Amino acid sequence: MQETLSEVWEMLTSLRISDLILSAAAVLILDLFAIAIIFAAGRESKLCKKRWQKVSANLALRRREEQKEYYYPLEADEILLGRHSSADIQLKDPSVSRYHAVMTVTGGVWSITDLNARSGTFVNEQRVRQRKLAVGDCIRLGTAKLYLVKRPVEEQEE
Amino acid sequence: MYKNKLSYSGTVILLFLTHLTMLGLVFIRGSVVAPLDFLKLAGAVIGLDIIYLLITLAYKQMTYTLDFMLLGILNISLIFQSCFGGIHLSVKHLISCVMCLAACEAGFLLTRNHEWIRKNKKYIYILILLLFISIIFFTDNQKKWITIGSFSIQPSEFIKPCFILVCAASIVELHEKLKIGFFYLSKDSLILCIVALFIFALQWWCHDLGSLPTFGMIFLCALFCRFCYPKAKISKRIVAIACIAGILILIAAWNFAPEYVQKRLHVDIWADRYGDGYQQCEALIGIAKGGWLGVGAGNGSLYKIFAHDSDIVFATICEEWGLLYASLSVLLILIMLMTVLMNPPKNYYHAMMTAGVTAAFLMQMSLNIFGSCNLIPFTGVTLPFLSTGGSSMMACGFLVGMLKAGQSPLFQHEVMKRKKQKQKQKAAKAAQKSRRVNT
Repeated sequence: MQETLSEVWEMLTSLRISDLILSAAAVLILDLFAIAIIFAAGRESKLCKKRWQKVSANLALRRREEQKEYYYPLEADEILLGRHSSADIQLKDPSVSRYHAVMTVTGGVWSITDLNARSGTFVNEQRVRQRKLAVGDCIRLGTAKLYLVKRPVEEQEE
Repeated sequence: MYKNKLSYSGTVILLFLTHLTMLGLVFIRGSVVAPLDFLKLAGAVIGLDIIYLLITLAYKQMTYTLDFMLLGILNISLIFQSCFGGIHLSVKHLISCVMCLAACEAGFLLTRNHEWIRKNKKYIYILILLLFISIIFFTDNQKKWITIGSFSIQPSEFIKPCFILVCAASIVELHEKLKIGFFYLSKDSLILCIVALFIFALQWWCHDLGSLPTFGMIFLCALFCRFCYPKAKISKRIVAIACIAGILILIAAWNFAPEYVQKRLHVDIWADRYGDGYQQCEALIGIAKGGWLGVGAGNGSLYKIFAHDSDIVFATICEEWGLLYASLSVLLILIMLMTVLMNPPKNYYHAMMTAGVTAAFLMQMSLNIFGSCNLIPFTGVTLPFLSTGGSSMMACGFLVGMLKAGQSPLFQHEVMKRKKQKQKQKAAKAAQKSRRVNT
């Protein structure tokens, strides 16, 4: 430890003060630049979130299970619904296929496409292959019911 | 840009200050012999800053941090490269930097609309095929370079972005599966596997095994994303088998690699100091000589060593600028990759692209830095942005453009709106013309 300290001291004393100050300033400014970038990226991600909320019409899927309500925000332009653990919205219901249906968005309008699921995909109790969705629509996959709703305020603030 | 005015103006000021303090360091601590050369360097750095920032203003993007980062790193790299072996403006590297920025914009504009690039993926396959043909038939004696006059191009560098795009395409189009033997494969997955095999075989043939880990990492990343991707019905068991197979291939490659690779894998650099371990020994001595704050720009001695500005560039920077500044420069590249995580892409195509680009950069940086520090065998790959080389810089620029595309994607309805607006404008112009003719 003492050797290292003495080595550092030797290095510092071998440098001219002006060199040392300038080197320290360069390192400090580079650090500040990196911090500023992280700060700006944070601000940008908030803006991008807002833009995405516009693109996705700020919707979410609501599911009621055993007196509890679950909200699944629609966070990508392609959302897969199914029983499999890799599905975007996982529904642990035996009547739901592993990869049941896929939801896509274009210009704030969401639509659902059935992926040849055995138990079928229903929108407002009508079996569908592909259909555009509106706020308040009830989507039934097997026996699992989901409602397309406006995203709750608490989630929007997050 | 206007929405983030305050934080952007602060970042731009700090960007300029970073370059100005570096130039100050060059002037005070460096070996400035001809003040005119120094002024040329300063002019080039500040000029590039101003021009690129003005160009960026013209593009409507959601995010600008990647532009600032790229500009910051490229000008830092220009200052580093211009100080090796005496202070002068490295015109060759300046051109490379400009080409890198242009490639970045090209990459951004080409991959911004994921629907469009998905539809036109056949052109990517054609491009990759052309690159293969150019490497096999037009490079000189397996040296990977195409020489046209005083310019040399390394086509294998351009395969990286194309390979990432092929990976991304294969991830998205997984619905239509074909049964081949006992396996269900989608058409794009099959193409990906063939392309990957071709690339690995080509690298082996070219004796360019340094780039193999980078391509391998991109392929592994695609495999991992496939596992995460909802429509990919690949089980954990298959991924586990693939991992075990990968480890076995690595062990086999380690033991049965060609003689020239075995030499590098098992070389004792200090025992063979003036033979195979020469570059690494000199690099380590250079890093030790530079200490924390370096010997001053242009005062180093590593510039006499072969590939001081490409393969062992990290050591050369450490010697002249110190370990602290060299590490911070690398950290800046890492932060550039990190900022992407703060705003994850909203579609699978861009997500795969981002993951592939990040994996490629991380692998290449690790290979270069740890290789020159003798922590892993020396591979001879370039350090992204900091090493010299036009092909490498252009490929890196294109990759950053792809990252930018993931940050500022163009959604389909926006494309439709633009098309409608253009049609309206055309119709209005036509109506005006017809009115003029009538009058």
